[in-house]
Amino acid sequence: MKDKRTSLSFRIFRANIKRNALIFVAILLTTFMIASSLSVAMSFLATLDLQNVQRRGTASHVQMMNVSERAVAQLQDMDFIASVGVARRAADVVFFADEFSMVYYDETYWQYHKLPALLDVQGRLPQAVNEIMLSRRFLFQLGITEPVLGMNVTIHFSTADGQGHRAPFILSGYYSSFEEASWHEPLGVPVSADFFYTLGNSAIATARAGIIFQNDRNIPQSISQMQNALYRPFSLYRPSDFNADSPAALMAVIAVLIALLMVTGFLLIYNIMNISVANDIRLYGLLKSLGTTPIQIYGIVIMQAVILCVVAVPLGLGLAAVLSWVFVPMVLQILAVQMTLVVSLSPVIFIGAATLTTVTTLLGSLSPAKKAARISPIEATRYTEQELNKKRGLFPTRGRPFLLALRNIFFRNKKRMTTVFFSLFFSSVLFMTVAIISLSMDAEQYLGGIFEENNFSLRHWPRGPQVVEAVDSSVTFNEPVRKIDEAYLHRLALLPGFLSMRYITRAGGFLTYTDEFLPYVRAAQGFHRLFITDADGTSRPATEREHAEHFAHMTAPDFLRRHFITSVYGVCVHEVYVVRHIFDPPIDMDAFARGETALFSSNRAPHLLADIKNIELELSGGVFNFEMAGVTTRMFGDIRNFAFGDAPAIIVAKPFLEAHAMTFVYQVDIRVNEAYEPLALMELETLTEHDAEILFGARLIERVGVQSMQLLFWAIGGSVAGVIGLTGLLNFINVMSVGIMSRKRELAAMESIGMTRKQVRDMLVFEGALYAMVVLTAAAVPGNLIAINLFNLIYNLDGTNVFNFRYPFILFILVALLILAVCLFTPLITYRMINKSTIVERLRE
Amino acid sequence: MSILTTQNLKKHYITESNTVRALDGVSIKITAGEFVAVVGTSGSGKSTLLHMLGGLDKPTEGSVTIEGNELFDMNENELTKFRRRHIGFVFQSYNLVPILSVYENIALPIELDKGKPDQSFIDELLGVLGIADKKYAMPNQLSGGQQQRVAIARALAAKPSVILADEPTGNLDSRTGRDVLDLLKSTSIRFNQNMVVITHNENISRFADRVIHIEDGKIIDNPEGNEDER
Repeated sequence: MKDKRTSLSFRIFRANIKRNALIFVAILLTTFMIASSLSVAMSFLATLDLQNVQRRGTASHVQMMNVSERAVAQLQDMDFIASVGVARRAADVVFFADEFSMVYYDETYWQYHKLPALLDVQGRLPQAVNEIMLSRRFLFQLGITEPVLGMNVTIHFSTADGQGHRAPFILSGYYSSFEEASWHEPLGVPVSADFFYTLGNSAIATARAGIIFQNDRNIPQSISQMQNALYRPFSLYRPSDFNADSPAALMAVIAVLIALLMVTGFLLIYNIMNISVANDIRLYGLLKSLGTTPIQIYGIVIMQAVILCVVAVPLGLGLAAVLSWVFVPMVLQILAVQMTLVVSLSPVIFIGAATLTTVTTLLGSLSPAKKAARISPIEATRYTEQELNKKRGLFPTRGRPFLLALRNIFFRNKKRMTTVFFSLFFSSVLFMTVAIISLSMDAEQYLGGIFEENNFSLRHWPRGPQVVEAVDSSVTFNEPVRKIDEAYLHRLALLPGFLSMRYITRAGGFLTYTDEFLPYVRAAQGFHRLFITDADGTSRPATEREHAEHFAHMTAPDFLRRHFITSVYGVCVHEVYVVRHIFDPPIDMDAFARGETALFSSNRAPHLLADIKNIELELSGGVFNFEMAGVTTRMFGDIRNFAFGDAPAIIVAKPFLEAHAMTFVYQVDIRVNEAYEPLALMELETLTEHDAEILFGARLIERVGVQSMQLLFWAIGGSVAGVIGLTGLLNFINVMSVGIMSRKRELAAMESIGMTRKQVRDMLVFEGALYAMVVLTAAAVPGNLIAINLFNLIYNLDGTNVFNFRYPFILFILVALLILAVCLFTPLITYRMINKSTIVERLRE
Repeated sequence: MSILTTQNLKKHYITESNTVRALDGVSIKITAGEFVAVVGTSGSGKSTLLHMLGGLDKPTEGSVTIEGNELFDMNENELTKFRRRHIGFVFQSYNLVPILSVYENIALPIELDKGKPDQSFIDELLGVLGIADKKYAMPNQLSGGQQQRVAIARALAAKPSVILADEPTGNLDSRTGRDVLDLLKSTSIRFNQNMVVITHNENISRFADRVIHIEDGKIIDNPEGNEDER
């Protein structure tokens, strides 16, 4: 019987080619989209893992601080530890924006803890005493953009005895690193064992053991196991993961997406199977009368779904695997720019997608199979699909095509109508959301936030000593290096299509600390990320109290009085004049020009500066008092305090600053004629390429970036919305055409009793129009509300100022027209198809 | 006075190997108030004849005239309108519209013609047919016999010139079938309707005023004798 059943399944399967094609497409698309979504999620997780290793600068699960040789030996003996490497800090590099220390890594640390975190490694670990290995970031800060192995580099460093040294080294290797310095550990610069031991007692000599456990699933448990085995307290540091929140948010989005794909897939498969079972119901009744049991009939229906799954799922998976190599890296590029991208081809993706799609298909077939199994032979002969058996809620039809259509839609098969409606509704909402988000990405607004009306922005980032240093109670002002001088500005003015230029100067300043600043300093320090390692070795963000305790010495009035160093910016009086009304009261421009009024600039806790009305500021030319007119956040470019400490940056009038401080040109914004933008860009690239201290941004380059992001979003969102939309439309086309086909005899009977073809056609077209009307109304009101709310959600999460709400009217009208056209033409075409046979032929079917 | 006349009606189907003559020169005449039974075996051409009489199918040759109107001179649209005004159909499988109630099914041909159904006449029909209590029921709430009665009522409602019934008892048990035939006969007398009933059942002859026998697409026995018109 089983063979017969399978063979029957095959026969029924073969007899339903159109239905099979539709379900096949539905399964294929569902598999493909679920696999792609899972692939993005898994690849993102894998990328995040690798990036975490790269940003932590180590693959160690945990690091033990100030470790002794004996402890290292003990750790190496523990069988649950896979690897123990030791990094010994020799000296600290000085005069750098980033904190670097020279470290001697043993072979194990270098191979298993350090190398996995590095990229594009050239050369080798230092062997000789005068060899050094540097990151490209370090080399860049030395002004070396094209390093060569064996080249000489001079390093300033300080040793444990407080002595400063300046020594030449030979570059034995270099690499790229995305390591971020943490408060307890500067960035490592590999040096040789010989160098470390040569320093002798003056070496800083703190040793740190990197530990990788055998089992990375339950690190806290391994840590406590290690703790018990060592019998004594030790200081542990567990490198914390970055972006801990983003995977959860991404996973939620992927889960919603997969759920949506499953729901639309389910609706389509359910509807097709349901219609197909309804059409074959007499056959199932007949089988039953011949002795087929309900379970066997159930099996026949399910088997058809299984056959389709067996063919469509692997194809969908194959398609997804092929596209993963192209599609996933593109998505990851957006989600996690800069660093290494990992394309995951984990079996979880394929098993997951295959399982979810098969479950969707089986769920979609379950209820139709039940219907086929339950029908009695007698019922089957009398089976009509309409559910209507109560006169309640019926309105008169009066033989009018429109009213007949209305009755057909709302009373013939409510379930089917509902599934088609939701299928179309979901896809329109998703489409609208994607469209609103994509269209609202405003490249010009985003660029305006960076460049204002300018095309280029040049910045001088001095690498040398700080322009102002405070040691104990004495303040030293150093003469800054002036890279952008008169001659340089003159060259900029000769750029092709040059229209205008403005520049901002910068100087070092020493702000007199008063207690009024304390709330601001505390809040500003809140922006420092602090992680605490608990006794079990787990790392977590510090609580408010721990944070306060840690930074307590930096908020002590005594400390602040000695370290309230800031960056002072000189801007054109005219530029402040333009924005003077933003402030309450408006800035007194005369007082600003005379240097009696100044502005704070901070985007950390600007509101806490609003009440500070007077400051005392020491510049190299003397001590000055200013009345504070207000606080700016994102004005005049990236103005903030680059000095050590948490004092806010100060903005004063440029002529005043130039008269009373040692200034240098910090930023130049250039506006050129748009037609000359590419030419000007080329010249600027040539002008700045050999100077690591001059950085420039170009609207043209940024615009391409934003536009490609927008395009990519369209491609991804559009394809998801497209697939779901296609599923919705397929569902409609299928329901409508099969619905008309199955009413072939009924329509012929209506024609035979005097309904003209035009009347039949009108009735069917009205049915399509009603679907379109209901869906479009739902899409226009609740659909729009959902889409706009989803946009707002994303808008509020965004910190880049790239969104500017725009409603895609024309696109929606086009989509509405498409839906309308499909809804009107499907019944028309189907009716034309069935009309090819005569009334008699149709009556006989 | 003849209500319905056919003249040398032929319907030939050409297949790959031969020509099937479903109707081969049928000429009949039905006079006012007549209840005619067309009897023949399966494949004799009786259903084809009925479809021709109702204008549902086009003949290869010949003509059908109802109340002086030549059916096949009309275009598709005119023919449909003519059908709803002058011809009532009763099918073997009832062919009721499942989304319409009994009353709506009966009133449909009139309403499609933008006419106002004669409520009292429909009520009378329902009474005569014994389904007055089913006026607002839906087709799937009715038995086969009841559905066929509704189909008869629908055919009668527009007071057509002729009612064509195609095996009206074919789907019913013998007792219900007999009841339906009784009803067809009595209503044809009561409402003075012309009735042509197609059947393979010889027993039907006792209900009919005249029985026409058809075999291989030809009339083999026509008591009123239209041979002179052949």
